[in-house]
Amino acid sequence: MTEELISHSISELAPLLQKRSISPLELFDATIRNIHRLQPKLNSFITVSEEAGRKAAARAEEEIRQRDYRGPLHGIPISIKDLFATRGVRTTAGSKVLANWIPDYDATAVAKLHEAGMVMVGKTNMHEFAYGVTNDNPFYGPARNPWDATRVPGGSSGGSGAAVASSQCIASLGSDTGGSIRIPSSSCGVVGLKPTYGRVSRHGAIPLSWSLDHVGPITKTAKDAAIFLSVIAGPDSRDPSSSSRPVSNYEKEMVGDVRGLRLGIPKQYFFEHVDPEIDRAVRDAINKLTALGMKTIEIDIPGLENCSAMEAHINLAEATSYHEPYLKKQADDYGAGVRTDLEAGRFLLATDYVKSQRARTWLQQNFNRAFERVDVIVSPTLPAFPPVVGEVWVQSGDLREHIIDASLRFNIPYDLTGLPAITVPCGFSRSGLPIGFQIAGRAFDESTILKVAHAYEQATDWHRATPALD
Amino acid sequence: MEQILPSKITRRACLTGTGATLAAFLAEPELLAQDGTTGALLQSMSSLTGASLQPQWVDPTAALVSVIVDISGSLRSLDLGEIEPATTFSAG
Repeated sequence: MTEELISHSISELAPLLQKRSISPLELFDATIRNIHRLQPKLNSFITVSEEAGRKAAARAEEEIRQRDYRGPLHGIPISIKDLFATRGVRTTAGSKVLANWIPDYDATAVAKLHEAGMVMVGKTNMHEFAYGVTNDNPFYGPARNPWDATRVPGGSSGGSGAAVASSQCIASLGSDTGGSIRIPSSSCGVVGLKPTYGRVSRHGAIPLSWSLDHVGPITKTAKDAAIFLSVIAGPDSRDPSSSSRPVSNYEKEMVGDVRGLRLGIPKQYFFEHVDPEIDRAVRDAINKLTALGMKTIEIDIPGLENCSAMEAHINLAEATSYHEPYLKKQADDYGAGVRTDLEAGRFLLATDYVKSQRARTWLQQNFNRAFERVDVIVSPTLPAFPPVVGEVWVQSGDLREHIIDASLRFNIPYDLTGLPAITVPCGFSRSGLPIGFQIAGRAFDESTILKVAHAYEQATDWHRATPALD
Repeated sequence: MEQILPSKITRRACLTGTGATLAAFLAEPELLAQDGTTGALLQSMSSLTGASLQPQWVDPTAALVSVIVDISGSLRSLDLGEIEPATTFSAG
């Protein structure tokens, strides 16, 4: 019974914890047993917080017993991407450079999760400094995909995606600069939400690119994403890009009829060079939503063809700027791929960086115009399936391309514009690999994309599928 | 019909991949020769960047910079009029 519990979602477990039908300690112990069972196979964690986690679970148990229930994350086993500072717990950012760093503070999102009563089970594996999409980590070993352990889980939050999919935690905190929440979520068959830029504080997350970095949840369901976002969202004076806009009641607003909502189908870019099985699953998902009463409208979004160049100029320049002090002292501690990107960042032109930032404003305007006609924009999350570990080429329909190009293509527009986007599972390949369906919305309108995602989940069972790992 | 991306995109892919693919790239003299000019240019720029590029990083860095320059043509040709850059700076 206890082992089966960890396959459940936050929204299913929270009432049981509150009523004391189950205990935070037994839930924690079952989770830890599962981590020990799967770590040799999936390598989802860099650090497992067994001792501190058990203390937190015991504390949650006592608080709930005394009717001091903090809310739906109280007593829930949660993992944290090793990018986030965690007080007293080693934070490596998946790197050798920070291999021995033990922060004396918590990232804001982590602090909020602690205040909400989470039980932190550990720090998840990730691509070195979040600078890549495979999670093939040269220092901590590759994280692996629970649906096929020969394959990558996607990245950079690959350990988080794999851990949620295999119930080594109930949810995870991730980050997304070019798709790093949505790529592993899609690849591992779970839900990943990249909130609007400014919605969740970046304080305490090791930067990759200040103006592109986002913080958000990886969960089993859209409802869990809403619960998680409600806890971590909000203003923070320690993050200069943090928004003071009021935080919506996502759980309340996501419920209800989607009839009449307008579904934007991009005419260009988002459906080009896509694996036929992915294309079919996403179009089936669109049909499912139209059957629920949503209307489809074809839309034009000019400027998308520049996204790759914009990402390169902004990401490389900002990342190299951040890493300059480390490059002076510890350059040889970087992996080859990340070192190359950081060296290249020194040689890009400031005019191209500024042009890219100007083009972002233009791209935002173009998306805003599209959002005058539609309520959400949908697409595949990824055009191809995750490759086996060590392979970097994928087949995206009629296009053979590098995993980085494939992974970023449909994700980076929403990092560049800062618009919220969520991926939900929408099917499987014949070989059993998950497929993700991306739903994007207006700035700070997470409620609508959560509503559409939730309605889709209510009409399908894809999010309930679990990988066989014995 | 399968499409193959331009060679420089392909080379970027090698560069941003794993150590094994990087090694494969470095063992390919034809590819390296194409970026010889860029590499020499980058090495000559240490007085501008304030950091010297160690010899083993010249070729992969030159290849990646070449790719980014290659894919920037459309961006550079955009006429963005009065549009200002996105920024989070606030004076108050």
